Amino acid sequence: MENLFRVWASRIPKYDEKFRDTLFKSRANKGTRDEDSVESLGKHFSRNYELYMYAFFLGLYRDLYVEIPKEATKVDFSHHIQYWGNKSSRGRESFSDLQEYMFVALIAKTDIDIIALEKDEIKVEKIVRQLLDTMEAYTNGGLIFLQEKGEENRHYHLVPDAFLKLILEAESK
Amino acid sequence: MIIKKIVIENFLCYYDIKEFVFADGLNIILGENGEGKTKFYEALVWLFNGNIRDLKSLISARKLNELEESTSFRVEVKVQVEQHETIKQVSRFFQFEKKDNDIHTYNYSLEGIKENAKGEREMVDGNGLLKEIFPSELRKYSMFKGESELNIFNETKSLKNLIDTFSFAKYYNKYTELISYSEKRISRDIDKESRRNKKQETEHQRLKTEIIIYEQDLKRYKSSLQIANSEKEKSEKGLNEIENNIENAEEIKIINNQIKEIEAKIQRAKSRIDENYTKALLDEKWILIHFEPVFKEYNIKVNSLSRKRRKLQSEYDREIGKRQQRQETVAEFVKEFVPLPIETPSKELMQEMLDEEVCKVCGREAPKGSEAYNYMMQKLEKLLKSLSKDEEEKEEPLYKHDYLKRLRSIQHSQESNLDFIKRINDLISERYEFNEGRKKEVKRYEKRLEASEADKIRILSESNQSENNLLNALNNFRAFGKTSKEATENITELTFKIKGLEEKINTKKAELDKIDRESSNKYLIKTREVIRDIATIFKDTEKRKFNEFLDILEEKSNRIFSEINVDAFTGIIKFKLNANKEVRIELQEANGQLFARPNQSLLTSKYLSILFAISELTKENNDESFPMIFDAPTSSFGETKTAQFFNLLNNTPGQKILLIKDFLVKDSANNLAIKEEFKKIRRDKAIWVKLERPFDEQKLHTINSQVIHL
Repeated sequence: MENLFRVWASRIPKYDEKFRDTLFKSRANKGTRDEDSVESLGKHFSRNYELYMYAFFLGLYRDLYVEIPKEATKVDFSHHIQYWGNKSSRGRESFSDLQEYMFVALIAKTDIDIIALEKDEIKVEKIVRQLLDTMEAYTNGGLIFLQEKGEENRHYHLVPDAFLKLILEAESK
Repeated sequence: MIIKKIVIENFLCYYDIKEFVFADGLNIILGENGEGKTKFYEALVWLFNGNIRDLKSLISARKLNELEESTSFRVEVKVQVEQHETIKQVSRFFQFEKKDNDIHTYNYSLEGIKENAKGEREMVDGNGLLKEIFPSELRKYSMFKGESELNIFNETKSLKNLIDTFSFAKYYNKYTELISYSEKRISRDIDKESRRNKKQETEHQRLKTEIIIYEQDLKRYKSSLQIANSEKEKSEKGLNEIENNIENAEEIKIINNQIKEIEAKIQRAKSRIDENYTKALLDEKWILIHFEPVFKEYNIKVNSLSRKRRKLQSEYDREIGKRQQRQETVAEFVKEFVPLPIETPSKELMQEMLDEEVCKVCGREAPKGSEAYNYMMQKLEKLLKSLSKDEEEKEEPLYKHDYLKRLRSIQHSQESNLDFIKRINDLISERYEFNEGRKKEVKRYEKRLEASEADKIRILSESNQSENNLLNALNNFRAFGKTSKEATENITELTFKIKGLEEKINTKKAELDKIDRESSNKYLIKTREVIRDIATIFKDTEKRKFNEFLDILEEKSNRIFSEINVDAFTGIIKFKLNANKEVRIELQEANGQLFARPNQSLLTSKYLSILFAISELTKENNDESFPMIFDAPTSSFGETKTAQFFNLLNNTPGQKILLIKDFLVKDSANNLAIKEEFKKIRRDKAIWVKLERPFDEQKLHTINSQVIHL
């Protein structure tokens, strides 16, 4: 059975490099004090892909589809989607099934021509690229939102349910 | 001795020459903190004891600041006293000058001058004169700085010194020694005489050896008894202290257990609070809370794709079918007519018509072998052939892949998760409620913890003990009890043994005396008996005098003590002589119980009472009184008690110089003034030391203490 999900999950999505220092690196710096960054994101997200997934859903629910600008440098954190949430560390549950939900959302939101794919008129890589583009655009939207939230109030994330609230509030968007 | 005048020159904050003129009786020096009181006291200490620090550091900063090159000045502290109608003056001083921008000190000396009634002055040795006017052993009980220095009697050594200084007992010491020497001498002579008698010599020697052995044992037992006594005293003192605290200690222990339990409950409640909401977003998939519409969108898309796919497939299939049929029928059309579609009538209908030998299309019979029958037969064969041809000749499929199949299977599996997604909202609310509940629980426990801790603080402050002390008390209670019991048993046993030994020694000594009497000169024997009697009298008298002194000191101290603390509960000062001949001072309650935790004010008045009692005794013994000088002795007294104390002092004989910071007040403009209440204090002389205004407390060279005689 041809499996678009498997092909997509074997890829690594990218994000705009500008968030590396401000959002992602903050969790790499866990344990050191860096007043300039959104320091405590690491307390909430123990792995980079967790923040990525969060930003994706945030962007999705808030309908923040913002493509990464062409001139921007795109970076990733060398972790294939298929492994996201697989390895449950101590005190954590596996959440790898969220991969499928992301895929469902991408299929729903991307204008892809499955018929052409099935007719072999286009290559599977093209479809997967389209799915990844959608994924990166929603994630980018979510990251921009988080960045702005941090600029508005650099301590917003200090309450334990800050990130949950952002998701709950997204309902009205 | 009375201090008439003290002159201070360029000493620390006293710039140039400052004179303090004193009267007999009560002299009060008032001064705010940091305005010169203590420097006055230090000037006296320097005069009496000499170098307390580097000479240069004693020079007035203001004087130093003004000092010009090659000019010199003097630092001096001079006391003028009247003693036995003679004016005596002692001064300690040195010169200083500026040379090559450096300060040099020189001519450091102590100088004495005596002036008789005729006004003739005579230079004398300063050290000698200092001892004469104010002996150092008396100064020890006459000059004090602050309340903390007052407790010199906590050391048994200080008390012994005191008794040696004042008690008549000391006068008996030298006689006791002389008598003991005489007894030894005469005993030796008697020995010699006794040994001359050969017969008795052996017996004499045996007795003496036995006595020596017994005496050695006696000495050992006595020293053990001393140790046992001291152990008993120590453990009883410990027990006494603990007894007052044992109830508190037990309460603290209970409260500590309560605190521990509450803290564990708080810990437990806190550990159940799960506020890792971000983790739950992923681990518990709460992030899917708004996923339902997305999933619907997916469903619509996949369904529509699926439909489109089928439609296209069916169109494609039809297209292929038409194409094949068209090829077959074109040939027939040429020779016959346009036929019905190959599948009309159907295979089943055709078979039915053949079986019944009837054409149901035109309604005519078609018996087997007829042309119509054969036509139908031919048509059925064609149809069957066309059908089998479909299966044989596969056309190229429209779709090369089936990606949709997987998308549809995801659709089915996700469908069953919709129920979960719908419940996420409830799950989140439940978690919030649960956490709120635990937080309330924690708050409740924290309130209980606070109450327990407040109880603990109350008990600790009531008992005036640290927590460790109290808990140790609980642990030590049994240990002290055991030691005390063992020491008591030891004492009984040792006392019994000592008594036995003393009896044995006395018996042996009596036997020895008998031999001596029989063999020695009667005169020598008589003399020895007389000397022994005298020795006993002296020993008893020394002991009696010692006790008498303590009684007098105790009586005087208690009288002054109750006068200082008029109308207040004080207790009784007791001088206790222990088995090791050491004197201790205790504060007892009326029932003889130890006063467990006297406050600082009571302690201060206790010490002051003893010191004033000593002063009185000094006057009685020497027929001369000496001044008492105290720097801030009554900080813990309130103003009322201070006033009572001063009025009492005013009624006692002798000169007193007191330095205090009470009775001063700052007005609205921050200027210092003396309170009205001070007028009510009866005194013989009052002096106010006050810094000259303006000054900068950061700049020492602006400091000058003025001496204002009120």
